[in-house]
Parts: sequence; structure tokens; C-alpha cells
Amino acid sequence: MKSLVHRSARALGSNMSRPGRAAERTVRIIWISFAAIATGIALASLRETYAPLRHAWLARASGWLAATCLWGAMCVSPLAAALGRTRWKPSTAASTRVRRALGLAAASGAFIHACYSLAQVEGSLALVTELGWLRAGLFALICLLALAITSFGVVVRSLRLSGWKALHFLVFAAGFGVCSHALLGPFGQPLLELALLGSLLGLTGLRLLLMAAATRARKRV
Amino acid sequence: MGLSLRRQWLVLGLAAGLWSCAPEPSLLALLGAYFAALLLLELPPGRRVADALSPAAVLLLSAALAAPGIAYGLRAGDELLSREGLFGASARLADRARLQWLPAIAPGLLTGDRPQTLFVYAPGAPKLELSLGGRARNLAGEALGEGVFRVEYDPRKDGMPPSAGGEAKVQVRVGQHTHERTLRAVTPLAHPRWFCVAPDRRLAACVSEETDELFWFDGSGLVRRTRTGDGPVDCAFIAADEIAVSFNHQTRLELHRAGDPAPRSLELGAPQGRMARSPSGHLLSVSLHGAHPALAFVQLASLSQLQRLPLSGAADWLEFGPDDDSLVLATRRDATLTRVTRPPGGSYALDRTLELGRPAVTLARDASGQTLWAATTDLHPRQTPQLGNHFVDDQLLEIDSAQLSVRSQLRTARRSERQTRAGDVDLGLSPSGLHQARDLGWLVAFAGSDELARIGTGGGGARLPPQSLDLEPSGLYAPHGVAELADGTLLVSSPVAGAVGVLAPGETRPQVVQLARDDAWLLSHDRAALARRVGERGFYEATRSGIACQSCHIHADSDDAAYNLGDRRLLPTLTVRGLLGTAPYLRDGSYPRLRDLHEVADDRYRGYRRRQAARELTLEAFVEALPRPERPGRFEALDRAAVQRGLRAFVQARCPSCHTPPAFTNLSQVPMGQLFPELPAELGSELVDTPSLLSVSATAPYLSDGRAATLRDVIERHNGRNQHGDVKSLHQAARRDLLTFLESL
Repeated sequence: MKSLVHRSARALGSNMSRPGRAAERTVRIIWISFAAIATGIALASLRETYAPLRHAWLARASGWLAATCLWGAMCVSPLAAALGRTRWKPSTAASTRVRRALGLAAASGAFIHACYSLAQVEGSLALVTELGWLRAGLFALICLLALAITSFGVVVRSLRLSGWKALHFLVFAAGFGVCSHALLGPFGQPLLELALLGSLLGLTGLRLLLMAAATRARKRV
Repeated sequence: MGLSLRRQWLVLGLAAGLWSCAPEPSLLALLGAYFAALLLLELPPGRRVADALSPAAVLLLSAALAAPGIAYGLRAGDELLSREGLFGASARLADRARLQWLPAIAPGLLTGDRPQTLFVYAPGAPKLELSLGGRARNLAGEALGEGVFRVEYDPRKDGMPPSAGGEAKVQVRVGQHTHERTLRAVTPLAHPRWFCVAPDRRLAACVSEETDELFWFDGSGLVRRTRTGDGPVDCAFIAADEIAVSFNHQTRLELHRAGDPAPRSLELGAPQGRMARSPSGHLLSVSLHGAHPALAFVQLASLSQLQRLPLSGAADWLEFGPDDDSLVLATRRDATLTRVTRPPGGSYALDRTLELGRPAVTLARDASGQTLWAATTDLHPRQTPQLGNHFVDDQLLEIDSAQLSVRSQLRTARRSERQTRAGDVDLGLSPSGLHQARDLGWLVAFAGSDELARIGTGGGGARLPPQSLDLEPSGLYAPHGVAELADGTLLVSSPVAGAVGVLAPGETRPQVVQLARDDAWLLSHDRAALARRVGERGFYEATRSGIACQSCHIHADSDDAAYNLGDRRLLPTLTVRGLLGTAPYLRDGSYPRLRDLHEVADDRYRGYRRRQAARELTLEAFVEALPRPERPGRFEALDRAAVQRGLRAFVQARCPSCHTPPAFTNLSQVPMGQLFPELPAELGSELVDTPSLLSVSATAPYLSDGRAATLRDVIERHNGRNQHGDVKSLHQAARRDLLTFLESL
């Protein structure tokens, strides 16, 4: 598995330095967990015998899985900064690797969620342009797909994108799109989703603080 | 400032600038503009600019590029919020959160004028008690299973909870835990409506359903105020000093004699509606509502029921013909007038029917009983669709009671000089009360234009006068009832103002008898009640196009008619009762707040003549304070075991996934095609708001276009693909139980 991850990263031209073993293990765990949870969701849905509810449950569960991965990706930097003062300090390459894996999982989850949900309702493509909550979901999906594509060095190099790092701040815009999609959607649970929105605001603030600290540190150097 | 940060500023500025060129404001367009700006600045010229400029120049250039986008965003902010579904989102989310915060209570309204049933959802709780606080009694919840509890509450017996600013804190006790929830608490004010007049015209009376009172008037004004049973809806003089009173919240009819504190009563076994005394004075006809609508004929001498005639729908108005053997009743459900006759020595039976197409708003007879006058909002007997949006054509119909045919039509809407635009009307709107004067002319109270008019005797020659008595200066808004006494004194009631105007002969301004607190008192003591009162005024007030909320939502209920709402499909009128806490509104959930519906009156119906600050907020306050419709079977014995089995069937059919307790809605909107794949494709992509099932038995017809006449039709006939609940998994007995459960809500 390790060599597979490495080989595929090299083949895709990953723009990161070589991460440590712990990071490799974490990335592997992330992908295995993602696959296991996705399979678990599919199997669990079989318990529901009434087809319309099974489809609705699958759609929601896949959406929540993608959201969980996205929030996980956004938590990596603050977590790495928090661990920076301990003996478990991760390298920049390792945290980038883990963040990338979670981000890619989020994008793939969101893509699966969108395709599956839209396939369930006839004429739903027409609704995407009309309904605010579906537009918010589409907004988040486009952001995530753009981030996923520019996560591969080969793409970045072939497109000659110099501003791809700045582009990745779109992850927060995607987060707000996800919150809006979940909050305004038909099966929204406002208390849960408002908590999600609060955590997103917290993470955004934390990220800005970390950026300011990094700028100050660079100036000192 | 680093190079990448400089580029990012330029990207943002350019993106905002590009966004201003988008044909319509949306976040997706902004995202597209961002990507376009990013790519533009990746091109060699863009890179050169970003690399060459100093940080200050970058900031200035970014600001200049972003300026059109910022201006665009500010100008189209509301449209952007609306397109993205964020407009009024807080109201929707608050309602949804309130229903998901367990234990949750629905409906979130306690009214002080009627018994009501609350539902509490507390999964896993074996027992539950509701403590209203203050002097109010604690209420035990009846467990229905699946975490649903039913709580019966009667404010007359249990007391009202203490409230501050119209809100009451209620404690829900679940086992050892106590949870506090906030409910809207409304103590209604007196609402005097239609008058009954003594045979000798010396006295007149009216009732207030909200405050359980009977008011007696003579030429000098209010002479007596009598406490009655629960929810009086109509009165009829059966002697010079004795009045029969019918009730909405009790099954007994009461007979009140002047000065006698203990009324006689007659058990009728059903809630009642309007009444009519026969010309001979021997009989009283009473409309019976509830699960089995009927007409009861009461022999007054023996105070006993002579006959009970079953009806397909409850009668809204009754009037006897020339003698005791014929009677005409108006039914809202099928928008008809029906004549009931009795052959000599026989019993009453349905005779013939006259289709109106729209229900009679009021009905009155002349002194001889040969002629009836009815007010309605249109006459199209063949059910042909009227293509005008919300088509309303206020008119009075002169009806030959013997033939049961329309003798003449008198359209009432007209304009005065104060209107400026062609097509505007401001007089003769929403006729709500009719009474024959002593000179055989007719007095008409117009609720939509706050006026009292006197017209001739009909016969095709009746005309409305160019000027009528304007009641607005006296504060008698939205008049309902009118009566003339023997000495020529006119009485006119204003339920909205909680007042009756007494107009002595020769006077031009009525003396106002205030039966409820006036506006000044409410302003200093109860602003919430004042807001509701002003909102109720707005509900009855007609727009310049002649249409009012009241035109279709008769007295805040449905007129049971169907209207073209713009797409040439006829859709049934919805009730506006029981809407508190169920945002968003309309069939497709397109309005997040009730107050936003005000724009329909302003944009489509030419707005209101009277200027009023915060009209939309007061309208919202009034509508939110309306209790849900009464369940027709509320006086029938409830088969509790069947209800519990029905709830289990409800869960088995997966109904709670959308009709989630306690409001039996999750306030979501779903594409119609998902529930009813058999519908044509153009309807399939339309959204439908999940309605609350509380009082569902009182809100037929069902489904968004009213295509299901009964609840049985909903679950069996119109669920062909089994997508609207897994009803196919239920056997016949379970389906019966499910219907029993739904009817018990």
C-alpha cells in the first residue's frame, strides 16, 4: 500500500517533499477508513426496505461523509500548529500530505454524493439552477473539484499555475457552501448545522491567526 | 506584501469587477468570475502587471477593479440573498430548530378562547407533564406511542399561563428532567359580529365567540352584557326578550332570557353554527357542524329537537322562506344555495340546489321571505375557470326563494373621486353584512371599504348610492353586522375594533360603544394585542384592485373555492389558520416569512389606499395568532386503541420522515415528481411544501392541487407508485387505523 501511494504520488507529480513514515501511515489509514465507511454506509442502507427512504439516507450519509473529510482537512493546519510545541511535531510535508488526502477524499465524496442525489430525482438537474440550497451545494462541489485538480503537481505544472496556493483558500468558501447547502436543504437539522457553521468560523479565524503569525515570523527572519 | 498575496488581491479585485457583468447576481457567477480572474492573471501580461506593481499600487488597482462589483453587490443584495435561498432563512431555521429541539411542542400557540390539543414529541419518555405556570393547572400528556404525547388543554378549566409580551414559558416534565419551552399566548379581545333583531325591533343582540359574551342593544346603546357558554357563534331572538345562542366549542344550545342568570339549554350533540327562526316563531333551525353535518329543527314551545336532516357539508347561512315549510341554506364546501322544504304533515327534505361557483359570504331574507339577498365574490355556476389572477368580483345577488334562481346581480365595487388611476376601486368592497331596513330598502356593511350603504329594494333596479357612510373616522373598521331598530337607530358592528356603532336617526356620525379595550389602552398595556388588531384591520381592508385577504380567506378560513394563481391552473384556497411556526409558506414554500406576502398586495393588486406603517408586521402578528382549524370529530368519542395502532402504522409507512412529530411536518420542500412520479414531467419538477398534518381532517381537499377529496384518496388513490409513504406495506386494518390517527390530529 505504501509503495502504491508513493508510486501514484510520483506518477501524478506530487509537489510535496517526501513525507515521513507516520504521515504515510496516516494517509493510508485515511483512505482505508474512507473506503470502509463508504462501504459501511452502502451496507447499512440495505436495512431500510423502503426504497425512497433508502435513497434519501444514502444521499445524506454520503454528503455527511464528504463534509467530515472536508472539516478534517481544514483542521489539519491548526492541529499541526498545536502539536508543533510537543514532541509529536509533524513535518510540513507530513501535514500537507494528510491535508491533501482528506481534501481529495472530501472532493470524491462530494462528487459521489452529488451524482447519486441528482440521479434519484427526475428533472433534478433543472432544480439545481433554481434552488438556493442546491446551488450552494454546486458551489461547494465546484470549489472542491478545483482544489482537487490543483492538488496534483502534474496538473499545476502543465497549466503553469503560479497562484494555485492562493486558490486553495477556496476551501473555506467551499465550507460555507456546504453549511448553506445543509442548513437550507429539506432534511436540515439546524442545531447540528449551526454548530458546523460555528466550527467553520472558528477554523477560518484560527487559520487567519496562523497566517499572521507565519508572516511575523518570516519578517523576523 | 509578498508576490502571491499581491496576485491574490488583484484576482479578488478583478473577480469582483467581472462579477458586475453577470446578468443576474449569484454566488456561482462570483465563483466563475474568480476562476476567470485567476486565469487572466496567470497569462504573461497579467503576471507582468502583478510583478511590476508596488503593494500600494496593487491595493489601489484592486479597489478600482472591485468598485463596480461592490456597487453591483450592494444594489442587488436582496436579489442575491433571495436567489441563494438566504432571504428570510433565519425564520425558517428558527422554526425548524424549535421543532427539532426535544421535547418539542406543537402547535406553538395557546389561545384563551377555546379548548385545544397540543402534541409533544419526547422519544423514549414514558410519562410527560406540562406545567403552564401561574395559576394554571398542570396538564398530563397521554402517551400515544413512538414518543408522541397528546395534551388536552381547556383555558376555561385549566387557566391561562402568565405571559409577558405575548409569550408564555411552559415547563415540560419528562421523568426527573424539566425543560422550558416558549409558546405564543394569545388572549383574544371581544369580537361582536352579526346582529339578531327582536321581532318587534326594540332590541338587537350579537355575540363574541372569543370572549363568550352576548351583548344586548336598544336605541340608547348597550343595555346588557351576558356571559354565555364556550364559543358563541350566532344568536336568534325566539321571543321579545329571549335569545337562542349557538356554540362552536360545546354541544349545548343555550336560551338566554333578559335578566335571568341561568339560561335554559338543549343538548344537540354537535357544535353548532348559524341559526334561523321560522316566520311563525315556532321553530328554530340550527346548522350542526362537526363530523356529521346536519340541520336540526328545534320546536321552541317544547324545546325539543323535531328533526335532524343530514347534509353533505355544514351550512354557513340559513334563512327561512315565506313560511315555516321552506328554508334556504348556503354551503361553503360546494358553493351552493340549497332549498329545504317540508310537505304538509311531512318532514324536511332537500329540494333543489343553486350553484353559485363561489360561496355566499352572507345571506339575508326580506320581510316576506319571497326574496333573499346573498353576497358573494363571483357568480360562475358552471365551474368555468376565471383566468384573472385571484379573480374577485364582489356582488350582491337577489334570489327568488320560491324558484331558487338569481333574479338580479348587483356588482358593488366602484370608485370614488379620491382614486386616481383608471381601474382603481375603493367603495363597495367585501360586503359582509346585509339587513332589510324598515322602509324595505337594504343596509349593507362593506368590510373591505369600511362603509355602510343603503340600497333600494332590488327588482333589477337596485343601485348603490354614489356616497355611503364612511365608518373609518369613527374607528369602526371592517364592519360585519348591521341592524335597524324600531326607532330608526342603526347598529353597526366592528369585530376588528371590538366595538358597535350606534347611529341615531338624523345623525351622521355613530356613537361608538367599545366592547373590548380601545387602541389607546392597548398601546400602553398590550402592544402585541394592538399589533394583532391592526393586522386584522389590514386583513379585511381591500386593495385598490378591490381584493382583500378576506375575499378568498373568508374570516381567515378557506372559501373552499379554486383560483387561478397565475399559471391558469385552478388551485384550492388554503386556510390561513395554524400557521405559526411553519415557515416557509405557500404551496411551494417560496415565502420564508408571512410578512413577505405583503408584496403581493403591493405589486399585483395596486396596494392599499390607507397608508399604514409596518402593515406587513401587524398582518403577520394577526395571522400567527390564529388557532389551527377545529377538528370536525372533536366531540366524537376517540377510539384510543385505534389511534395508537394508527400511529404505529404511520411510522411503519415511514410518514414521519417528512411529517415529523410534533407538528407532523419537517418544514421541507420536495420536488413533486419524487412523491408522485405519475404526474406529468412539467409538474414533477415543481416543489411542494410539506404541510403540517395537525387538523388535517378539517382542510380537505388534499394534495397541493386539491386532487384528493379525502384522506383515503391521498393514501390509496393518489399514491400509485408508493412513493408518498410506504402504504403498500400496510394491510387494510392498518390503513383504517392510519386514517383514524390522521383524523385525530
